[in-house]
Amino acid sequence: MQNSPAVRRFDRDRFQRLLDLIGPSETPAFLTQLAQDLSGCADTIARGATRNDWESLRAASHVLISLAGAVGALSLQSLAEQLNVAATDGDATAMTALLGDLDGDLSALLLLVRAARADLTVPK
Amino acid sequence: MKSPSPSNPMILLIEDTVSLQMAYRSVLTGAGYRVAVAGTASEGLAQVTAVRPAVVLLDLVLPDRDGLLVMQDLLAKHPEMAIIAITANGSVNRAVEAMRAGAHDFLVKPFDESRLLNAVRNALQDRPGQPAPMPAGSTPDQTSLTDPTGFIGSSPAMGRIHATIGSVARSMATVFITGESGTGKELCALAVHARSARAAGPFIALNCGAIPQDLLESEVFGHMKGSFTGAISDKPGAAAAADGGTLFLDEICEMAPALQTKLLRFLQTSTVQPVGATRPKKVNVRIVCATNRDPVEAVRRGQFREDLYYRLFVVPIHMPPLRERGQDVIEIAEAALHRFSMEEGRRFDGLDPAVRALLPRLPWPGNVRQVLNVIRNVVVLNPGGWVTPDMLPPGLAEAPGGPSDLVHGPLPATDPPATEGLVGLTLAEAERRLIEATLARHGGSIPKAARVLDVSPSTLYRKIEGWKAQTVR
Repeated sequence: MQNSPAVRRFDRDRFQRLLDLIGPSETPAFLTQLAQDLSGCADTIARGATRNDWESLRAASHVLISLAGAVGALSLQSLAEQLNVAATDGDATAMTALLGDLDGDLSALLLLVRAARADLTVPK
Repeated sequence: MKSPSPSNPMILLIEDTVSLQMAYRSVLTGAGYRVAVAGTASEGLAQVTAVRPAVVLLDLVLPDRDGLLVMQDLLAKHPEMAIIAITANGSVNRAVEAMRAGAHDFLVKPFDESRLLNAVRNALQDRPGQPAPMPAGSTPDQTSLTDPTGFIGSSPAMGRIHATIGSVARSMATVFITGESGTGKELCALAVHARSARAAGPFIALNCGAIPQDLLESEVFGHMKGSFTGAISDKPGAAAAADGGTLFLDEICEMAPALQTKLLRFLQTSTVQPVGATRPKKVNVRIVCATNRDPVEAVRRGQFREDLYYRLFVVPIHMPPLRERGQDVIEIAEAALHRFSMEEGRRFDGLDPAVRALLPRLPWPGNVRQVLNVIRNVVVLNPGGWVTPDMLPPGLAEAPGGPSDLVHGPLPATDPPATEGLVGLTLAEAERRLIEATLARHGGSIPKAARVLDVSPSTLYRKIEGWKAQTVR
């Protein structure tokens, strides 16, 4: 497992394996959709956090756990799991403590996915 | 309307996140399945009618409806349908609800390719009309690998147990068996395994209370040669040995907290990493566990992880004490008499009416195990004929509810309460006094003292070693 300077605790092998399964013909569409889904999570979390909308935060973190884990963004997955617990418990303090790191990791992953889409190679 | 062909089954995926739909579909089509996809509950219900899938992968969080309600609707219309519930880590209790409501299996996101394919493969194998692989050498009528003298009984209590086993055996749900010592928890686990689709696979039993805790990790997960002093060769461990079959963890509440964490990780990832190994290994194991303690109380006391409890306590089976099983004690005693007579080369005619009237009225604190010991005692010490009350061990044939207990030795005379002497002591000091007094009462026998104190012998061994270490210091 390599630590990308941009994406913390990034399992590059897992990401590449996923792209191999998707196949070369579907990879562009997949990466585009992945970026959209991640962006959707980011927007929902940002909106939900300002209003303490626990239902939205729970749903968005549920999706983000799956997305981050599927592509190998292990730090982001862990943060999303913590956010899911905080949202389930209605714990505003815990949620606030997570948001900085989560936003940073999510932004880094989005950059990586968009870069991969741009050149259709896994960043080194 | 298309029907899925047996060789190319249709899988319906109900998942609202499009990129995850694409990922899972790629995994499934790559493995040769045909895949239909729905993004909402209403689309999913429509697709079930249209494509008649063999298996449904159902995310429990959908935009238009609760996935659990969708599952209940599907099972109401298609009770034979195999549904694999999908949830995210942190929502395992939802998966537990889904299993209790009839899901065949559950997956916790994020899951990897092999876990997904294993779950689908198992669900396809367990469909009605797909015969379960029979154990080698068995006949179609044989439904249990268990000792016939241990897991028999036609009482209503046992009828409920058999019904529960029948309904859960063919799923992947973890079974958690509780009950007093000697009630047949391991036999119940064997019955679950024997009636499952894994009956041809291994059944590996491990007693977490009988193995020293510093060796338990190695026993469960294996070790590599040289990983610690005494590791003279590679050892696969019980979890790897149970690959394709069932792993039975007895006395699960005796497991040390550090190992509970590793067990939880194993349950979440289906991987084992032997002590000293650098890479984990995937295994496909169904877990059955048991305890004679109260697991909720163990969680409350902080002795058992709550998240592990919820992960394991999916399908509970409580083995009733023998005193609540009516005439089962007669069936068990007669079967034991027949079996032990053959083993010892004796000929007994059966239980005489006085014995048949007496046995159901006794308390049987040692449950089935105690009955087996009593009958073996009768067979060994008597030449044959009818079993009469005078053949029974001394004290057993006294008035019903009497205090005698052959298995555990003669009960001590009751003492006046001595709690006054304990007031002012710390809890640890009071515990030590009680343990030492119990040991002295039972001739220093740790197994006997452990039974009386309702803990495992390894618990007492650890405490005694701890006291010795304190004395040395």
